[in-house]
Amino acid sequence: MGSERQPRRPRVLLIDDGATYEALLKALTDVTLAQVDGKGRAHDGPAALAWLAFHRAEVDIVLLDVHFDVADDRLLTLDVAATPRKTRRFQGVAILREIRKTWPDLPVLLLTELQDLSLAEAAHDVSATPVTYFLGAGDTDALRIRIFAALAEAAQPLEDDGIFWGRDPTMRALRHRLAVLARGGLPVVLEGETGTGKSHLARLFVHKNSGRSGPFMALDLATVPQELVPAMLFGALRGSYTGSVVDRKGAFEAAHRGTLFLDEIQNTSADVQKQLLRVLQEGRVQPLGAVQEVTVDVKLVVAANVTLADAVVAGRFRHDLYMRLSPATRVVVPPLRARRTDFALLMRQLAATSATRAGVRDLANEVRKALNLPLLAPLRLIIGSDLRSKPEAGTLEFGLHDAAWRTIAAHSFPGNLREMAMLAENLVAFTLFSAAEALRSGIELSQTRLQIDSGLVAELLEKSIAAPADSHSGSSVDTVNQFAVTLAAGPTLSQVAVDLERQVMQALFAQCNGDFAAMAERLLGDPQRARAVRLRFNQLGLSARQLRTHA
Amino acid sequence: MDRDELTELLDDLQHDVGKHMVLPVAVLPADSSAAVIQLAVLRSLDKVSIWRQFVARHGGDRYPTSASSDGTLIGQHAGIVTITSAVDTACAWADRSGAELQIAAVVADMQAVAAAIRAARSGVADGQ
Repeated sequence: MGSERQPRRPRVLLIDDGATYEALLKALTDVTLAQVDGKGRAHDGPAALAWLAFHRAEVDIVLLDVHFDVADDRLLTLDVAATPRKTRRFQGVAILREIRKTWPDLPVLLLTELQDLSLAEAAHDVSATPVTYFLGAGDTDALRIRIFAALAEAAQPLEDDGIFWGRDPTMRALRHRLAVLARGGLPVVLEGETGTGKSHLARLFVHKNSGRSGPFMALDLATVPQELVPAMLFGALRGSYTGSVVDRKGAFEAAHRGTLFLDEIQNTSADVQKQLLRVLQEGRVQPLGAVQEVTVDVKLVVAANVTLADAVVAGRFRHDLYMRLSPATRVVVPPLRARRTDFALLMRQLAATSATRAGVRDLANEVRKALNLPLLAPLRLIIGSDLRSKPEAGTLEFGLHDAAWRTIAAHSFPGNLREMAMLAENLVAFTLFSAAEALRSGIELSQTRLQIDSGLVAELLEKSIAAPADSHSGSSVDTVNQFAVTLAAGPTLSQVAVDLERQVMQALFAQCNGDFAAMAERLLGDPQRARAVRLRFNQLGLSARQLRTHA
Repeated sequence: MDRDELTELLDDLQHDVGKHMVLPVAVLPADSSAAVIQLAVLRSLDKVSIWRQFVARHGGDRYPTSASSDGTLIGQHAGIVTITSAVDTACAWADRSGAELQIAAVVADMQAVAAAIRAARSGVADGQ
């Protein structure tokens, strides 16, 4: 007799100034409310944070109201410029930010009216926060589903299937969407800058989750000469074109019952686009020189490093083909710079895996041997304040100081994951190389934690800035403290300067996702001076609200 | 009263109506007794007093619209009038009892108040 284990009831911390939600949750038999000072809820932000400091392990999820009518001294700061009324109305957002700072993995469900228009003002904060949901004033099933979905999502590993999903909410949403699209019969469109991992997603996730028995085939249309593309895609009989000496199966046939990934689809000629449309409409291909058509059953995944809709508008991509590709479900893979919360996790992971590369492996082994570490001793990147900890036994560590880390954290990585992977590998390789050279010169090493040269970080990043960006990445100079500005004549030099300052401030605002503390850190080296930056921002006639709405 | 102030007031009201008025009735079990429903309805309608206080306090205020520089009386603003009408319809449930009290019908009337506030809020934000 099978005995299925009942899932443990989620333990919920409710943060609410009133009793409505508490009464509602008490009626739900499948959740347990945490008791705070004898009540089933924390009355405000300070009470919740104080309770969590000692009881974090006792809760699985936080349910948080948005509007708090509490005394001034119980309000957490929302924004230095916010009125008390606004601070009360969005107090939940202020509490959310504080929770995120200390417990980034704790799922939070924001409880509010689904169509609360005023929340649009705080949408930036809310959308940039992982695991946040809205509850409409509907039925309790909706609340149950939200709670269990939030818990399931929080339990997702940071990495699986060889793909690093991280904590970023955009990537988590993308994963969910791709899992659904992989199962369906419609084509999948992946858009994103070069280096964002589109082909990885197609092979390691879409194909794997498609449930299809056939193979995965990939064709990068940018690397195939235009005249050969039809033969590569649809196949060709011997003698059908110059140099064709054998019958050749096309990618569609080869991927029968499997997945076909076509990279840089925007590069196809009008003729190929026409043929692709026919394949999508009829499920058959006609190899060059053949009379008979061949039926194909293929899950098609196409990728572009431009926005295909723009290519349609510009007349470079057929509208009917675009519509056949199911554009409503297209997936935009975010650039790495939009996933800054994942930077540290990614750098650690990329540094650790760099030891498997041939050149790095040999150097690492040489240093491991000299330090009496096992040959398989893992590599570990230690960042900033973590350097205060003692080196872990049996591990070869690489220390990256705060200043160097800040430089990396502020970098825009126009080459995306590929660029970060190269940076991580180079930092590890150069550091190992210096250590190996020292060893060969007879210098004895005793520390298993090697320090990465901060100058090396700056040098490597400086050189990467010069790399041209592709059309999906916007300005190629939109990187660390370099902004594209337009110099326009003005009646006075002072007005020209103000105009330039306004442009820089606006670009920095976009780069920092509207975070004035981050802007203060970049401009003044001190995140605590956000108020001064905000003041100057306003003096320049800029409106954070308008810029966010515009964005 | 300027447009921003009115917008903020409507946002506050919408939050209160959604959380304290609609939700407690909407989540009542379908087999709740008439007495339970009546109690929840009366408690919810208590929150409507917020609206009555608002209209009493600010109905005579003027606020500028894009169409008129001298302003319109808030109490005569089309969006506000619609809210007041929706509130009156919802309040009629306070006088009903027994089999007359159907949760779905009560919730629909209360949601109409929330919808009227949303519509008015949009209109005010657009300068109407």
